[in-house]
Amino acid sequence: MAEVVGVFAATHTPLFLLRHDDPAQEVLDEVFACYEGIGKAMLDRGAEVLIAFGNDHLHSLFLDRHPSLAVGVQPVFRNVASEAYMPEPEGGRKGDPGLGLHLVNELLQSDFDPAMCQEIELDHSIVSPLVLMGDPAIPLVPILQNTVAPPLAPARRAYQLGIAVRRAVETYNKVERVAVLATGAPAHWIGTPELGRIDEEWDMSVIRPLEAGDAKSLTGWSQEQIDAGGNGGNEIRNWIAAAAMAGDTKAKLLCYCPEPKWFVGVTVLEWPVGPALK
Amino acid sequence: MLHYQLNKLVHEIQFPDRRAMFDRDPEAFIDGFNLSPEEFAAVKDGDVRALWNMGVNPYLLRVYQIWKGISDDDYRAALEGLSF
Repeated sequence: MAEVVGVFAATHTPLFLLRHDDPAQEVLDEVFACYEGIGKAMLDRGAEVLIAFGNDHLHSLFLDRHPSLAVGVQPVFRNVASEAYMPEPEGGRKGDPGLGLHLVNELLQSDFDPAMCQEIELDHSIVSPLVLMGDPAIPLVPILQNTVAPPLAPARRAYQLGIAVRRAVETYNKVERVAVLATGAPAHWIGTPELGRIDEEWDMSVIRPLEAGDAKSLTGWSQEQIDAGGNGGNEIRNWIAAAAMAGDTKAKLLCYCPEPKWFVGVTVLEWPVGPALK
Repeated sequence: MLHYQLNKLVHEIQFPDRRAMFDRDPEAFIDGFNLSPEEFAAVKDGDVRALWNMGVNPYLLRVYQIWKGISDDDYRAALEGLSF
């Protein structure tokens, strides 16, 4: 059975890669070092697959047939054509169809209804943190939750998802070590009148429960409470899934850096891996 | 209620090939979308407030804003008084 060797969360933004208006050098140094650190940690721990809890921003998925939950099971992922600024390794980034298909099957057995995707592209949700992490050559299985096209699933669904994915990983025998990265969040507003707003209080109202090992409390948040963190705040679903996958242990805040030029309080978290939740 | 065709148009023009088609001949491009004259005018003229009020998804509006070269300050000013 495969083992989860690391569970991380990291903010994503195109602005990490669009370098036309950089924050101060000290901010770049602190944040970039933190992301490099988690990329290195995954490699040091011998991760063979990276499960990435993320969300498309209507680049690869659209309203024509928008899934609430999607798993990318293909062997290669390319970047979305509409984000041409994003680096891409030669030939794209590898996936892991074996684990991807296993996850889809196990999720179905766990009463989820994932969309099984064989030709999705990656947008900045997954690519921007990966690039800052040094683009470690670890095959990916993206698990995308809808955070952009209401109505959205309640937060408790993300918690249930994390538990189910942990269970699925531990019944998979083709790899030994799996890392997890949740991307996005905390509060930010994109394309709304509040564009650029940062809300440290809202951010802490999410981060503190995670540090206390109480992601479960976030599952009781209403859609209105989540929306108070902007359309971008809805990405905490990725964090909640990661927390549940780790066993809702006490997260360590590796970096919290509110940066107006990035429109967000950049956050990097790591959860120690505890016993699986039921 | 859904404003699907308008969202579809704004979604399409984020891709370089379709953006080029739109730039060459906006009217021919939007022919395939069932837009009202008001919706078409808002897209063509960069009227982000109208697009917001017409129900374009904010993530699509962000791509649109950047394409039209609207600064963040001008964008916020255009949506003054509205809220997410």
